[in-house]
Amino acid sequence: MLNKIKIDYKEGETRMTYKIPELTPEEQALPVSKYYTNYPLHYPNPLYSQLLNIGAMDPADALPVERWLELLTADKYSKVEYGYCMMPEGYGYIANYSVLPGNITPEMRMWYIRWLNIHSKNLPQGCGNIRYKLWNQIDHIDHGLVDGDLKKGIYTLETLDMGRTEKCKAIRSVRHNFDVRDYGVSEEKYQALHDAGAAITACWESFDCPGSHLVLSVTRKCPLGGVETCSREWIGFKAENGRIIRDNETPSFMLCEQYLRDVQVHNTVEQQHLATFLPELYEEYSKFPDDAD
Amino acid sequence: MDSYNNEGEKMIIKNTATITEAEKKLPLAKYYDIPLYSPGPLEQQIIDAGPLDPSFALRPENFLDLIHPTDYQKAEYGYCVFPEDGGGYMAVYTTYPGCTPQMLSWYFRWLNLRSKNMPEDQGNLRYKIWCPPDHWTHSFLNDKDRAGGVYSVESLDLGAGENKCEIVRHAVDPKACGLSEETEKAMKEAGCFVDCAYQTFNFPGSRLCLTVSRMTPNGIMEKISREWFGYKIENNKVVRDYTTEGITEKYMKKLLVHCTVEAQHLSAFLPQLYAEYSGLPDDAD
Repeated sequence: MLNKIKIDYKEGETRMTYKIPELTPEEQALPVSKYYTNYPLHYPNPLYSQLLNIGAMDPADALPVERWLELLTADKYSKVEYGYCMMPEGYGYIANYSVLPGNITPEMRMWYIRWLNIHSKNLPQGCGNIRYKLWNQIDHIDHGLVDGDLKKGIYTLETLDMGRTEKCKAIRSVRHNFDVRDYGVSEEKYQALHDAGAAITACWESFDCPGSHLVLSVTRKCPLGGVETCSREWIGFKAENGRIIRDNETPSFMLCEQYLRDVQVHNTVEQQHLATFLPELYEEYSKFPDDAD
Repeated sequence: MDSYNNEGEKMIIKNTATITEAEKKLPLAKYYDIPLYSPGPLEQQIIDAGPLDPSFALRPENFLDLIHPTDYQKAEYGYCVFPEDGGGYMAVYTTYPGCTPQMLSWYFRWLNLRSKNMPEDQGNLRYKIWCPPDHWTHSFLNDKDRAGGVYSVESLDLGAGENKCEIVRHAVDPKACGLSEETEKAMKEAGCFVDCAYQTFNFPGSRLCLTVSRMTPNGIMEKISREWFGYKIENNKVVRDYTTEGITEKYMKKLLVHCTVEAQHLSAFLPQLYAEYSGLPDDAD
């Protein structure tokens, strides 16, 4: 009920932008830095803000990890598509819903997801990866292939709380993609989703510290235009050898409502932001060599 | 509400209304069959959370506070009934990807005009396409512009069977009600479109309405609307109209769902409609 919500911003503040950290002079000299400075990073839009301010969702409305594959439908919504909570069993849950407008094509997204892992030729050492920083200027630091090999995973260095903690406290994570057909989705169902235009992303994340996050999302045509993504995170689980396994080493700082809310805000802000700069970035850089500055 | 159910799926609202053979022959009729969807998942979650705490609502006497080129209120979406005086409140926030305030302004004039071969006594197809199960007709009372009032006939239950009601929309000039020249100038410079009116019905009562259309920081048009049920403008002041019947949370929720669905739907077809019709004569079929 909204009569229980905690309002933590003043009227008018929701349209505010975050204060962006300054790039180093070497980074500023890279032509791509204009996408860092020219696109302000905005707070979550009014609908997201209102839902965030309701607080944690009722765990009864969450998709429990043992039913995780029920997310994979071509045309259904859950009762709660946007929220977070600690589950009674002690693991964390995040549901995220986002829509990218129709001017953001699948080709643009695929291009960026590959391109951001490549370091440009004059990228200064020790400053992270500016191509990743564009996406969330506050929290993102570095992104790339582990040992240059996609099979070994994709590493990410970021904070997740929109600048509340110092960058030096960022935790490196490695994303391990997997095929849901190895985890119980039948070939028939997989093909039906594919034929209906629904794309599945499944991975689990490990960290420099102990802990695991299981992530599943389905991206499909939004009936109201554009492309929608329904995603879920189960904090405290990983995927291994065809089974979803509880990771009991997941630290307590990841298993609390504040952490879940922070991740939710982070995800919402970066998803909104991607839609702002990607068309211009794609138009300019997709025709350049991979290592263009 | 039999035709509306958002539990667990992306529901296409069943259109229980039909159009005549003569209407089907009009080129515009192709817009009538575009699927109509129930509120999106974020909106539905807020609806499911129940009425807003009235302290987060914008009181009608402060309605001019909504007119701002950038700000948001604490709660941009929801409904409630004010405990102080029993008036109703509804806030709707919608984005319109691919649309501009100019397109919206064009449609809100154009839908009052009739095309040359539109059949008589069958309502106005230009209004019906906006929300097929509920909308019937829309016109300028003076056949010229909204200054003389705008007449419409609609229901709110997405075709579940309630009687359609007659509405007359009386234009309100925010400046006459106290909007500062400074704010008016800022709105113009920011390319915002403001639409303010109060409505009367074929039953006792009044409803004050205000809409601000503007571009979001992310370059998408957003429409911020409020309706205050049981209020009108008299001598440039907001007054409570205690003759207004039927102000309940259930009614305000129904109004919110209707307004959300029609706003989503307009957003879906307006760019194409504008591209096709805005360059044609006013009476094009």
